Amino acid sequence: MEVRTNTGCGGARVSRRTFTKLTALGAAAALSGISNVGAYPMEHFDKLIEPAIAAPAEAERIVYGICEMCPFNCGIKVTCEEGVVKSIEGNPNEPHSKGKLCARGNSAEQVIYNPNRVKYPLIRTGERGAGGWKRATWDEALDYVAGKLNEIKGNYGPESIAIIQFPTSRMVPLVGRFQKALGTPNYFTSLGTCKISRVVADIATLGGHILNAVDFANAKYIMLFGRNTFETPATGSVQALSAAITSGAKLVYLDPRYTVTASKADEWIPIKPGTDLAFVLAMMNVIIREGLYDEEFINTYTYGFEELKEFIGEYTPEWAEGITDVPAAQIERIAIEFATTKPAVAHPNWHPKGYESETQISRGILILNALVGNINKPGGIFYPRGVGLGDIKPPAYPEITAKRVDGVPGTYPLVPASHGLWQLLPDAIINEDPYPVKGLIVYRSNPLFGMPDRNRIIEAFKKLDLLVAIDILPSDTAWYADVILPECTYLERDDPPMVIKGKSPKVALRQQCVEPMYDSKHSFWIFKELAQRIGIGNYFDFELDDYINAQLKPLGIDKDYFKENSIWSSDISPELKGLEGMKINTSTGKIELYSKKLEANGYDPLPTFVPPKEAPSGMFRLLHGHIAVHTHANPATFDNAYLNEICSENELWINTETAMDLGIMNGEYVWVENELSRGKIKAKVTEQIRPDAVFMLHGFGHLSPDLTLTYGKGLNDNDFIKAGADPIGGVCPMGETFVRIYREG
Amino acid sequence: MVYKFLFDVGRCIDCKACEVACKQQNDVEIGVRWRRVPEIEGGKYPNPSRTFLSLACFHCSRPYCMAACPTGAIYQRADGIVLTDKDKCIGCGYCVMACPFAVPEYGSDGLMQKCVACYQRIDKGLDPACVHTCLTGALAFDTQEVIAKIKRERVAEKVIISP
Ligand code: SF4
Ligand code: SF4
Ligand code: SF4
Repeated sequence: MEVRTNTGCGGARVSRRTFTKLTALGAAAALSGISNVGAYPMEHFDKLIEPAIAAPAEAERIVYGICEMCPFNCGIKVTCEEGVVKSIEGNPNEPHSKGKLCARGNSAEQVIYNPNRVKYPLIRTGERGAGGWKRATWDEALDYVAGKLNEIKGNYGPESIAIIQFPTSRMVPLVGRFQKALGTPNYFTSLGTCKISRVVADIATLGGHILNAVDFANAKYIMLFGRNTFETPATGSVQALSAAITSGAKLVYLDPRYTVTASKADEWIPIKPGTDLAFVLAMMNVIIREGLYDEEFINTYTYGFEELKEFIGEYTPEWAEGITDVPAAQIERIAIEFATTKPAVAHPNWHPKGYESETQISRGILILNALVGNINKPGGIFYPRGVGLGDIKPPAYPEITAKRVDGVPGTYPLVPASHGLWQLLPDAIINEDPYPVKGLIVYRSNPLFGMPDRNRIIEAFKKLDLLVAIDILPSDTAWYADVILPECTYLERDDPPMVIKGKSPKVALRQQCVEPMYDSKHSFWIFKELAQRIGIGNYFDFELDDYINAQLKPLGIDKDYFKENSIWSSDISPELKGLEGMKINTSTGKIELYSKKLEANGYDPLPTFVPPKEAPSGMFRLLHGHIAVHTHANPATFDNAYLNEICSENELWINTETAMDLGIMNGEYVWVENELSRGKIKAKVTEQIRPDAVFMLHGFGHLSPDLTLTYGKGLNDNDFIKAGADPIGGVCPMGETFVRIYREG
Repeated sequence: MVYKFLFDVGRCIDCKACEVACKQQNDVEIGVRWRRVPEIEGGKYPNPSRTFLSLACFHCSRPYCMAACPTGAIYQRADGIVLTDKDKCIGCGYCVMACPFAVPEYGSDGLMQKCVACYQRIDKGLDPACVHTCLTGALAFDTQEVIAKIKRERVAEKVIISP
């Protein structure tokens, strides 16, 4: 069957050098200089060339901005010439990247100059997902979307329109404004399959989410419970961890897989998947039994030590040995090293291990840090400091009486509604439970690819009256949408400012480097135009610049400040001076080893170990994860010529002995199957994984044929994962996934 | 003054930032990779090993490629940087055969290309793009005296220096 690929995406892959030449030569002459132009409608090239030709010839120009290839938002320094992005580096004054970018950040030009970009608004003509599109003007597309939104709102109420947005967008407050003005409670980010349980654990234990605030650089003993720092590269954490290792810190890394981070550790512990908490509890047992905890810190700053002490008695290293596959003596030794080497820190993790007891796992690690008193001190976890930004006060919002469809906060009282549990949305749509959701606006998020159980999501999409995708590339979600609205990239836009939380807060601004290509627009403009068409224009009665300036006002600066300065720095001292005088935002005003918040909500106030499910016979636990050159579900890294060249397909990691038992050879394609899906993937037979688990990288097996570089390559782990939620923190228990592996047949 | 690369195996984390920085700063065409980071797997579970090597042209002191080139397309600057002159290259491939590391690669034009040590950046007083972006300090590029000094400082670590 031939797949029609007519979102207008694709065409000649123009290298930046060719592109510069194009702009210099002018349209007619340039076109003949490009191969394969016949396949590429003329008007695209007109658009492609137009902004650059219109701009006067310019010498090299440096623009400081913010990367948006992944959630970490590193500072960038972009060199532009003649309306074209020439090269990119890190902003040396930005505290995380310090002038260095990861592979993804370095690949920016393959996003802005990717010929697969969505070039103009598109309205679906054929079946959903069949690939029939008609080009629309912005007015047509926006009128169409607004008409549908009004219709849905009229028929079912505003709550029948849900919004999904990527959580680290600078547009979060403005999309939130749109949602509240529209009057729907159903706003989601992707945190339900990410760190939502960790957020809840932080709030319950420390009184607030402390993000990635771990002072690796000054630590002498570092424990990572599957936190694969080097392959989920936040440039700041990578530099700090690397510096710590270089200066002699001991790194203990627990993971069923021998990741890059494992390969740099002094000790790799191939722990049984899902049993990290047992290891942590046994460490606490030893530390308390041996009296190695920081008594003064415990007495002054924590609540519930006596309860913890009583609770921990049964969790001996011997008990943990049988659960974790780690010898009791090793656990005992590590516990003593951790408590006696100062400063020692355990990273409380980021992306979850993916178990139903995720919140308690995260809490366990936080409590471990508290036991040795290493909070808000050099080499410990710390409360990152921020600064407050201003706002343009919105008119009063309509009252929202409808409940959210994901059970937040009814069933999940502790899950922040600012994120929700997106993985529960498809079932709510299918079952119309508690009411129909008929419209879905997806702002540069990729639920069809990033959420578990793809078939279920497609089924849910079929029940929608309207699915809008605002995106740069024709993602899988966009491919199944009714309307695609092309957004410009982060190099083609100004954005609301970003507070860089840390030891001493800073503020950075994403600034436009070049004119938007094609007919792409800023999402602010898109939401504002939509708002005007659905009668909530009064909430967007300003321009983006006004909003940026209003946000910056409390700092005493405006947008122009960033023309001269690459960053704004506060005068708050970066020193970490412990917790004295600090207000801890829990009900007891202390770090809660015993969580009153969990208790009040009917949950276990102490981190009781819940064993993971056992693999059914003949099946293997499916682990998933990340590589440094890609993200989870953002097509900007997968459909990216530079990054695709490095990693274009995922493989299934199988332990050598397991592979021998199954008769599987390295490099052959094997079947992966469970009750949800079945698919083929290349086998990587390796010594670098436990025999009872298999692993595949996230991010492959895209459905959208217009992602021409990545389409048809690899397998999507999400196809095999069931949607669900940790009853406390809400994260989808993705680690509880089992698959059968077999050869041809 | 002669420049040398230093690569520190112990520090490299296979992040490939160097590879991509090289591509974007030098506009290297798709399919050609002046810098690459291959992996060597070893050991047996539960004691496996992974080693990553970030490799590009070594800008050797006595470049075999240059000696093998019949047209004089490969030349060496006074500062040790080895470059190829496209106008003289005939695409015979002798340089690849002569290079102990098979560094030069054919571009889509059928001519040879390889790492140019970011000489344009060097001439402006900057460091090479790959070195500049390396998140761990695994890569360095400097005069051979400085490189030798770094090597001595990192004596406990495994270090490879250009031959
Ligand atoms: S970690 Fe990489 S992709 Fe993420 S913001 Fe930083 S440079 Fe960009
Ligand atoms: S020195 Fe420059 S040309 Fe050579 S590998 Fe590094 S970035 Fe590429
Ligand atoms: S940037 Fe540095 S750490 Fe990363 S792969 Fe290259 S040499 Fe290794």
